Amino acid sequence: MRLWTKPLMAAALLSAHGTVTQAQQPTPVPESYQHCTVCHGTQLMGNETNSAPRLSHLQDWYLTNQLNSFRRGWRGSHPEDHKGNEMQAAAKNLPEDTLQQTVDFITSTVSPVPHPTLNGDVEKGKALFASCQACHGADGKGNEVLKAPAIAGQNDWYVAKQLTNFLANKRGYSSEDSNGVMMKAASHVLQNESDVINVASYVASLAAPTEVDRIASSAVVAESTQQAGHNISATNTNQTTTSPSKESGEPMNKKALAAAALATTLSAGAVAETKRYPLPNNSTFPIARAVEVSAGTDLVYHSGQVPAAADESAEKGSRKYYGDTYTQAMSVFKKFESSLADIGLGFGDAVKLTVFLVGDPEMDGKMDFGGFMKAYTQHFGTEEQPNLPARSAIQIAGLAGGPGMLIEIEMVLAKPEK
Amino acid sequence: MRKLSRRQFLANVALAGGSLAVYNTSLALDLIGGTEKLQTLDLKPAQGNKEVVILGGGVAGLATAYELGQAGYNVTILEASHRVGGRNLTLRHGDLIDELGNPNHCQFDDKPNLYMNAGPARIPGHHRRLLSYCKKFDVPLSIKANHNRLAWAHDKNAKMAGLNRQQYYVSDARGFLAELAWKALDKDAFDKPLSPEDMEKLADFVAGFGDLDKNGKYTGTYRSGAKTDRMLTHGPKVDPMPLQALVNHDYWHNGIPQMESFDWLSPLMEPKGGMDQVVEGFKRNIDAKVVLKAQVQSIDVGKDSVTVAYQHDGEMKTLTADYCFNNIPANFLPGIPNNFSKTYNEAINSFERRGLFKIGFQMKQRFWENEGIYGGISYTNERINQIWYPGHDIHAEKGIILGAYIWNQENIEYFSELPLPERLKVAAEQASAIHPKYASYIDNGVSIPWNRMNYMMGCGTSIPMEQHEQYFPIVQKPEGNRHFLIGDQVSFHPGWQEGALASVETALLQFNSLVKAA
Repeated sequence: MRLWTKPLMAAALLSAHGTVTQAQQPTPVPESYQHCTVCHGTQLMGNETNSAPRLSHLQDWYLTNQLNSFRRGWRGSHPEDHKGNEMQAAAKNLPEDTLQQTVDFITSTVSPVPHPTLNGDVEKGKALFASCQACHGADGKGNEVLKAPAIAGQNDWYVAKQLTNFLANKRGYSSEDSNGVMMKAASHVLQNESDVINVASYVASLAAPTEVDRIASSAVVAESTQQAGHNISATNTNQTTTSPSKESGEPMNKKALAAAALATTLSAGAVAETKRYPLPNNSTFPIARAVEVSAGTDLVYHSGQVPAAADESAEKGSRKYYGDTYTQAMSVFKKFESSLADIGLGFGDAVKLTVFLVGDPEMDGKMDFGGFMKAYTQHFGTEEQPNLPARSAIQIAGLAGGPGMLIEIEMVLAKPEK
Repeated sequence: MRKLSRRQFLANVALAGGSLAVYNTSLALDLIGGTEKLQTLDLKPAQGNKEVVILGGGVAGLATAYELGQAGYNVTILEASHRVGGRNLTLRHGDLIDELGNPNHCQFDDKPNLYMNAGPARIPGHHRRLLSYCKKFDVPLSIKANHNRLAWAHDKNAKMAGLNRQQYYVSDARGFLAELAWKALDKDAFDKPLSPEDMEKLADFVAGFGDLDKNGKYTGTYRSGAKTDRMLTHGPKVDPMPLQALVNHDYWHNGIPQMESFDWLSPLMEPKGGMDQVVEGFKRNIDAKVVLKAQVQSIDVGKDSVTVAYQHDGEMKTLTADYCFNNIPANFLPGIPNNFSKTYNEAINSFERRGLFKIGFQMKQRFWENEGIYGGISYTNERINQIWYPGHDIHAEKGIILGAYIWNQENIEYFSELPLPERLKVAAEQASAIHPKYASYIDNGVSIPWNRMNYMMGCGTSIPMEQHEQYFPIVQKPEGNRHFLIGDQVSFHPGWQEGALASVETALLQFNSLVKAA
């Protein structure tokens, strides 16, 4: 057996027929993304047998959102969504710093518009689609402002499958996945399987987005400020990157106008406010029973913050290095203070805190809840800052910063209207 | 009720071993006569410089490359992964387990006896095609016990007698069935009455079958051994288990029937040193250009040739050949642009992905040998389903045990969705009902979810039974007289190498007719 490593001689290999290759002219796939095409097909054209959808027509912001959803477990964690779980594993395995490159690769692909595979009633589907088009557009080409992806150009079997998943709570199940939750609610306009098939067939009858559409849909954001819907922005990633400013002329302007008009309609009456429900029985414990955030408010998901060193001369990662739970909690809140100020927020905007506490070796391995509360009450429920968030505090086995790191806090904040 | 369970078993056998193996038991019996003399391909030698491209270096691809190479064709194999062999994969120290989302390396010690057959692992004596290649390529084979009645039968739901040597359940099954038959002998239970002499012979057989006493009663048997050392005392025989315990025991329903499956009849065979010795045999005897990491992008069947676009070394390339033999897992074909006819694509789109899941543990000690188990399989209705004990390198220090062998879709998904360490932990916990100190012997382990393996994403992928009649004849025939679909997927025996080789035989016989007619 000979291993053939040298490039084959081009002259001998030129295709005389090449009807397929000429039509596609695929460009080479970077090696680190070749495995994507294993399931999703050449140029990510989609493959029903593998349950892998077409990706080559999707907008960069939607791809980023979905990759993040998979990575955070907002998608693909439902015990009956086995195919979603396969994708979740692949998404989680992408190194954090390559996400943008992954999206760039996906948006660089060009594949043929898929053939319809369902035999739904297109007319009935069109009637049902009336309630879809508010977000996805009458042309089904998506709207970044509303985080509604292009569905025209998607495989009809996949549209049907995802609608079924939304209806069965296999997608949009995580309260943190606000886009998914919204779509799950919207999916209930469909009453039964035939509705799903009919609407998917109608979507398949729409003209698929072109490259121009894809850029236009992303560029809309540059012109209309994010006015409607819950715009999720994580502080570690910039999810609202717009595509490079390729001039796209008239279609884009038309699209921008339409989207801006829609955004205005939906944002009218949307008040940026939160309603905080107190604990029952006049409890004075300084947390809220629940916090309600109305539509039209931007939600900000802040990554977990961990303490800085209290004594740098001590052994790195040790208890002495970070100090006791109170010291560590104060350090965490201090870090939050500057990070929040940087994005125009304060503790008063927090709607949900999750507090991870590690057992203190000096307290029999139990969490020092009192120490944490002493620091917490200096920042929440005070005269200057009376707002109380919903909150959970959990003891965990350990944190990444060494055995002496005793606390990590993550926060969800509602951005006040400017 | 329990009948369903048996039907379920048959369905499982179909998934695991070869779907239509079950369906075609009678055919298979005929086959044994037919295959003693192998089909002679008698390929017409290539006329001039004829190019053949083979997509996928699995067993079917390698066999095609060998046969066409012998006939004088210039053969190129395009293989997407880093190795040839497909699912014929033997894992050893340091090998890459290319699971999508979870690539990892095998941690077994670097020793020749420590390996695991992650794909096919056994060869029945009637798989004549595979065995003939083993013979031709000097692939050394050894006997594999497969069934071992000293190994354990375990039922996690049993209220009594949940764990015993398999022989206990088999002996008692025979004893109780013989008792029933004995009772029937007294009545005119037969359509065609037997002569008194024949009746006597039948009674004799029934008594021998179940080890009944002279009154036709089953009171236990020395066939299950004795309660004390049989070498020094005439110890009492093992008591029969309560019939109710047996009737409800999973092994009666899912274990015993497996011994009777035609493809699992003991003894089977395995290549010495690992199943991939078959692949090595092909590699030694093939003179084809093998392009690894070459991923096919499109297939274009022309009037006189087939053009394949593929990516290799970061570049897009095309290759035009006179004929194309396509061994790519059928679940990938809908994602590769082609110009096949509508009918052919429809047939290709009918394939369904299936799965298979295995776990291998390197054990510090061959503790099973201390239990009198040398090779064979223990059965359980825990998710791990089976535990296989190595029959090679007996009494070595360490050994690789197959800690889970699963074809039940739900259980495959359950394990696939766990992180790697968790998979091993669960498998160890489930085995502890059979071997209480199991976990303490584990050095390390590997898991192979074939439904998540890169460039494979399935195992036993095939046309669903109900569409077989409609689509199988289509995928068996060449498209445009130039493109042949091959692999176990184009056989009634998906998941078996013999199925892959049978598909090659079918394709090459048609190819030969076409070439001869040209």
